[in-house]
Amino acid sequence: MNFGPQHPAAHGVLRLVLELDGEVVVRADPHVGLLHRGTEKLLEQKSYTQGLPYFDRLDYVSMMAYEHVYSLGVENLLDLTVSRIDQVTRVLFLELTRLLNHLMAVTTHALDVGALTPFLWGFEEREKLMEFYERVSGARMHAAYVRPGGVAAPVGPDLLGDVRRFVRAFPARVNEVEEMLTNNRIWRQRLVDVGVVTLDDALVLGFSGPMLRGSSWGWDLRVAYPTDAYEEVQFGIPVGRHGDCFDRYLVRVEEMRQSCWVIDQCLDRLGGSTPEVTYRGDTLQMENLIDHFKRYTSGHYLGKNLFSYAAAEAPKGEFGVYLVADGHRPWRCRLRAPGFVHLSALDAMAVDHMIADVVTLIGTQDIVFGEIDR
Amino acid sequence: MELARLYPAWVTGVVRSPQETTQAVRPAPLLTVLRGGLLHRGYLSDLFGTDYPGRPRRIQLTWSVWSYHRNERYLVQAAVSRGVFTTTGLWPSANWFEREAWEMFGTRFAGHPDLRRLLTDYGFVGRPLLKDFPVSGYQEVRYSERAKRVVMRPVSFTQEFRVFEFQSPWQN
Repeated sequence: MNFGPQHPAAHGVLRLVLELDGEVVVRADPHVGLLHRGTEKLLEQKSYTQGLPYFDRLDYVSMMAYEHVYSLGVENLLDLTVSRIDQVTRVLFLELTRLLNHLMAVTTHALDVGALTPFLWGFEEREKLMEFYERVSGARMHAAYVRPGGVAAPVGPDLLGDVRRFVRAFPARVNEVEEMLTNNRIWRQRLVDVGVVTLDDALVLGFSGPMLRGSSWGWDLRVAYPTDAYEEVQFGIPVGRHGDCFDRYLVRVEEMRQSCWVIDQCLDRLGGSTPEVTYRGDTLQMENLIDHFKRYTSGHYLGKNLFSYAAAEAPKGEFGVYLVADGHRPWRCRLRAPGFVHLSALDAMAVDHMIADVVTLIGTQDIVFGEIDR
Repeated sequence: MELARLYPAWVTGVVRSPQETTQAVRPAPLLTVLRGGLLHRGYLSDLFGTDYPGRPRRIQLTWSVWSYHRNERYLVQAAVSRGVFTTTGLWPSANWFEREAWEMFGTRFAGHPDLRRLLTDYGFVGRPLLKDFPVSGYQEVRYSERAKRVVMRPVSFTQEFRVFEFQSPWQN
């Protein structure tokens, strides 16, 4: 039986071919690629600056996290260190992005399973988060804000104040969502003991992010391989115990609370003194303007046959960028998308489940086709 | 660096990069070690190809293996002419990676259970990530009013594809 590609619970354009025995799934064969745009090929044609916006379009619910990894890759090649204020700004927005993603993941999952209300509440909060995106970069979603070498523009004090107000209020919103879901009988019946992945399976299947943490392995690249200012902020890593959909849901909810804490710490570091921004004012000088123009038109020269692998904890799991430099353009840019790996395990997860559970499984995997199809 | 010391026969060269890299000629034994070894128990996080048309064995495959216990990443790289043995037996996650590498580069994986196209269109011909494959591709899809369905036709452009490769007046 065909599930999708137009089914709303398929989260986009997944064509899932199910072999069924009555209502029990015998085999699930995802047909992906309906959103394949050849990003890896296109990136080989573009300079490093031009390549950046493609990363917003990969996972279009956690945009900056993907820009960030690409920026890390380019910075690795250039052997570049980012200024501290930009590092903190990055962490601030990465965690805002995590909220953005998890709100989407949890609430649309609830929507698929039958609870509409958290979705409406969650999207109101997402609207606020996207307003922060807009105020800092001019774009609500495809921000192109985190860039190789830092961030596009400094964060103004009024925005910091508004983020602070948002973060103060946000845990209450998370609580509201939890009130609707966590002890809800229907929600529990649909999620508990559905899609159990044992720790061994999760590791061997290449899981990462909340999918792996739900299976009781507290591994997070933010801690294992910290980038930017992640070393100096504190946060907890929630871990599930049973590896079922319900645990993964709880992990995501708790991660939202932890992100709030991280954002709070970043605001403490950014606030107080006014950020010392020099590079913006520098463009007023003629020589610097010329230099800036040159770099934008000719692109950066990153040497030949150098390569780097950068990976960081995107909200969905480990996102990696493998770059081989070839002058002004990458020779090869490989994108390791977490959703791709998770979806490839859907067959293993869905077998012997009822067809209605497939909706739950797709929801719990937090699938976005921009990154899977690339 | 320990790998090169432990298994000198399989490691031909080591490249230090931002993250650790191992160059291997025969990936199969080394990957088995990475999978089962007590020291290096690793899990496959990525597998992909890179095309170097100038080289005798033009496709370079890279296995990215993450060792949770040692908190290290190993990039095992091997130049491949036609194909290699599959690693799906070691890690089930290799399944889709190998399908993708096969589809994009034409590398065969002997013993792979289900080597079908993955990301490209049904009936797609060509290896898109090879360097001699044009960005625009060969075929384009459009709706034919006459046939009343979506048809594939050779690509046609009103304007030539342009690559701006300026000679920069500044020294790089």
